[in-house]
Amino acid sequence: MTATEAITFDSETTATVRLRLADYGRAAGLRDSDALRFSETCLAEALDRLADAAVTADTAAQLLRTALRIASECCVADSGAHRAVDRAEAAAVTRVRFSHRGLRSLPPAVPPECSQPMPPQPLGSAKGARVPRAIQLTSPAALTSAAPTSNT
Amino acid sequence: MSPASAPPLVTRWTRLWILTLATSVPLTVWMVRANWDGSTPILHVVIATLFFVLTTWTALWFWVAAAGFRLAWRRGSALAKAPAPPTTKLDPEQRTAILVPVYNEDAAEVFARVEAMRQSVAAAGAARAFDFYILSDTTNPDVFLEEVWHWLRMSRQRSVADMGAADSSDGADDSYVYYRRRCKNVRRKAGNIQDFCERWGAHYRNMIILDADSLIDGSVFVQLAARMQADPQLGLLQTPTLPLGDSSLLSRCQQFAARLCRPLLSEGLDWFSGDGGNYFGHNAILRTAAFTRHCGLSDLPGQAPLGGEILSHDFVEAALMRRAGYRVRMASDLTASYEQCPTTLTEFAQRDQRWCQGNMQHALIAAGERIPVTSRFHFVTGIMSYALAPLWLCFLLLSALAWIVSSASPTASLQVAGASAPVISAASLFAIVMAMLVAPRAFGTILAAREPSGLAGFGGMLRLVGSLLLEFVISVLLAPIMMAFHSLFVISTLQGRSVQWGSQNRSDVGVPFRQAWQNHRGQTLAGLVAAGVLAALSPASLIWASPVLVGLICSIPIAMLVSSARLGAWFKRRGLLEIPEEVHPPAIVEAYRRQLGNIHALGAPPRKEIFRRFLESPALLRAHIDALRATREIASASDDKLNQLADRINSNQWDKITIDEKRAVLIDPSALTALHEQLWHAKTFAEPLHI
Repeated sequence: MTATEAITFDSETTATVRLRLADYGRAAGLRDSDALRFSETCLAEALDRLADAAVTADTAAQLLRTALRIASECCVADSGAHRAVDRAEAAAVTRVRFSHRGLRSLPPAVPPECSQPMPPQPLGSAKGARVPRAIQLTSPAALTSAAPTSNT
Repeated sequence: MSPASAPPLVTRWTRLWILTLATSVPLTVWMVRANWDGSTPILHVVIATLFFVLTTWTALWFWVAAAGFRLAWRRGSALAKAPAPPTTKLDPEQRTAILVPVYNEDAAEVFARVEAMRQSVAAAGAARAFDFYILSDTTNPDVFLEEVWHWLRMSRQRSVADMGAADSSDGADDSYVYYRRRCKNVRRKAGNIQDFCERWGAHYRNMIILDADSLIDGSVFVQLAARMQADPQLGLLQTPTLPLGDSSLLSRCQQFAARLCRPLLSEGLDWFSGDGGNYFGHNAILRTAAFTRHCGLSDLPGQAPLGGEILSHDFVEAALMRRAGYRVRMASDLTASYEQCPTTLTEFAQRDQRWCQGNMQHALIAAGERIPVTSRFHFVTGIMSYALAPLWLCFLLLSALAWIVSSASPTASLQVAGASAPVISAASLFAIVMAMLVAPRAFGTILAAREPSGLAGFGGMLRLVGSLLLEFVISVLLAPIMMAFHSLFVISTLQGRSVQWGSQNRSDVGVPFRQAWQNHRGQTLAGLVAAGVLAALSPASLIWASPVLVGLICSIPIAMLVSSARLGAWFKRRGLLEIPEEVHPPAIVEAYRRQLGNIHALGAPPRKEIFRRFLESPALLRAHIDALRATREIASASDDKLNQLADRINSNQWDKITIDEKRAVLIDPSALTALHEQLWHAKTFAEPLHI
């Protein structure tokens, strides 16, 4: 397909998609002005992606589906692999909002090679206690010196 | 007496047991002399043995309370004075994680508490030394979506607040609040904490473990961390928690009795325990590396309920920490540490059932090797809290039997003719035992009356006395009901029936008649039968048995009345069962109420709509997927489940979506995103969803 044969969308279709994307941006927590920029960026990205796509029976639905995919990649999946994130300041706003210092999902876990397993301790004197291995106790002083950050 | 000037631990323990036995042995001898008639010697020996055990236990706690009273009297008040701020600055390298394990709790309340504590820590100027971890084991998908919703709400509020504060653009005055949900709550709370220790524990020198209903002032967090920093041998430091419950009559009784007696008992027990203290599972700071290395739990031999997974892990962890050579202490002076208490008798009994099974398991561990003596004592204490009930029941039944046999004997007429001496003797014995039981309350009252401000906190002398009488009457009425429950719990545990764990409902719904009938009809029937038998065989004994019989026979209305929030409010309006923390609410309690009010004003999505809201909202779904990615348990939903779900959404039957379907899709980010995109697409083009 050459450039002259690319799919074209009438203004009514793009307006519908633009409105829906703006709604989406607002639902994602963007201010109106950001939501409009976000809408434009996602629409532009969708048009780019569809430039090389095959024509389908319902191109309007195809455009919206693609645009929503891009929008959700920005706001939900945060895959980072799509070009829209780099191009859209509005999309970047959403990332900043959710990665604020005050609250985060979780810090990185201690790497497996450094993590400190929690070995089950022997309990009771009854036979059959399910204990993988006994712990050799050392002196309290030795424990203290080794305790806090030893990951080995 | 300061710890430095206190006698050695062995001396303290020896004194305690000498005093205890010096009380219980003469009382037992007195009881035997007063009742021995030679007719049924074996029966009387058994009764005397039971009486000795029961009295020894009563005397032990009397002397513990007396020790606490002595310490408080010398100091001049029931509560230790608030400590001065720590002189040593917190080392930024020795950071502390504050862990909030939750399990199907009210998310609004949980997050209101966390926000209040976070702000309190910031006000104490130590925000950077602490991080909060909300460790969710919630199994109900709607509840955990509510948790994510509240977490996101906090995030947005903090963003807005920080955008307005020029000096905090880097969040320097803020603690992190992390949220993590486990998809499988392996080993319940102990497993939840273990998961934290293994994955993030190495980032933190200490961890403060809370319950979902814990509320601690920021200054206490700072004190706890400073004391751990100052004493590398300190492995665990427990704060004395005060239950706050201003709703039902039962919760008001609990908070009143605890406020009056618990400081003395905690301080007394701390004095006798020294470095071999105990851990109550929450509101305590632990040295993370020592805990991780030495406090992993193994399964007990045999099957549940006595074997298998350890349920009451706290006592065991304290024993293991002590066994590893670390000190386990109680910080009696850090009193701004609170929790909620059950509001209904049903919740109260359900909680006791869980604790009963957990404590009974400790019998195996108490006899284990290399368990420190003080830890064995704590284990036995926990077991006896429940084992006393069947012992008391046996004592009552056998005493009644002995009375009946004695009344029917040929010498009965002679005994009745000269009955005044034995009756006076028995009444005196009864009075002494009762005096020991109420002594902690009396000690607390004396200390409150000693200082005008203390008295004012309880509403003045008149209200304090009124509250004491009211609480005493309710305790007497509840005692036989709880005896019946505890006996049932012990027997069912010994029979091998396992406890089903459920979320504790802390709402103020009361106990409706149907529920009270189901829970207490057996007790009512037992009381009526016992009263009938005694009336037929020995009417005189009814007077002695009446405190127990009234409680059992009236257990249904009692359960409904004490669980009533309206009745609780009625007493509250009259200033009865009031405590100082109610008259002058602590700053952290007020902050929590303010936060909760803000949350309610904001309005959370209704639970029945929250799944739909998450699927539709990019912001909510993003927050959920963020939280999900932090777990290691992302899984693909089965096609069947997804197709069922899509069918229900297509036919607009959101309320028909099952918990299983929600659970399946909520751990599958790809399916969630696909559903989300299609829902948005369907808003413009009415196409059915295809997953």
